[in-house]
Amino acid sequence: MNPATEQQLKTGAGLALGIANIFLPGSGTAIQLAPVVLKGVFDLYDAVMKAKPDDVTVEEWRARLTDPAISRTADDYLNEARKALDVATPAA
Amino acid sequence: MITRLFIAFITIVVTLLPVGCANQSAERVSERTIAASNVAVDAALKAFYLKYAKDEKANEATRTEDPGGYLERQNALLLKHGKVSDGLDKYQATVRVTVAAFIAAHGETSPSVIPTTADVDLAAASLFALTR
Repeated sequence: MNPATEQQLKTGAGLALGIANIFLPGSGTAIQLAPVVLKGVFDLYDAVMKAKPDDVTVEEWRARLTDPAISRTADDYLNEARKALDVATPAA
Repeated sequence: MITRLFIAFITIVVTLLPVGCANQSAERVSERTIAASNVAVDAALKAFYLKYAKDEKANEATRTEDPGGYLERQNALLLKHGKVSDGLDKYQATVRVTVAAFIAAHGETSPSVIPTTADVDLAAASLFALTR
């Protein structure tokens, strides 16, 4: 991978992370978005939608950023399992 | 059970994906692969943590009668949790970079910046290995 492409991917990764935060429902979203000015939010949204491949729907495109495996932490999974077993233990 | 799930997932990806994606764009193939990979990772994590919570509960029952053993087992569980957590972080970073590559590819004359989906599958496989 050439340096220019690598830099582009790194920049894109940061952008994708910001976009993921925008679309993520629930905890932490407001705090994560707080430093982002409104224009920045719209720019990010425009960027990801413009980059959407023609044969991928908007719903599919957004869904990839909000899939459980990409939007949850290991602690989320652990706490869910604990609840399922009704285990009253503190989070690890 | 997780091993069987992993084998089934790999079999599906290896046998069906190339056929179904014959006329699809590179972006579409990546999108589908990430989707399948996410579903498999999500299922593996749910299965892993269900067993983890059961082990944790069983260990809690030994807290007073075997405090030394309890701490040892609790420590081993926490180490496992840390490994899986790291694996999930790496997986999520890989997916995000792949998604970012779609954005980076926009406006490019060459599609060479679109990564192969092998990276995503490799990350998923690594995560499965951790949860075995």
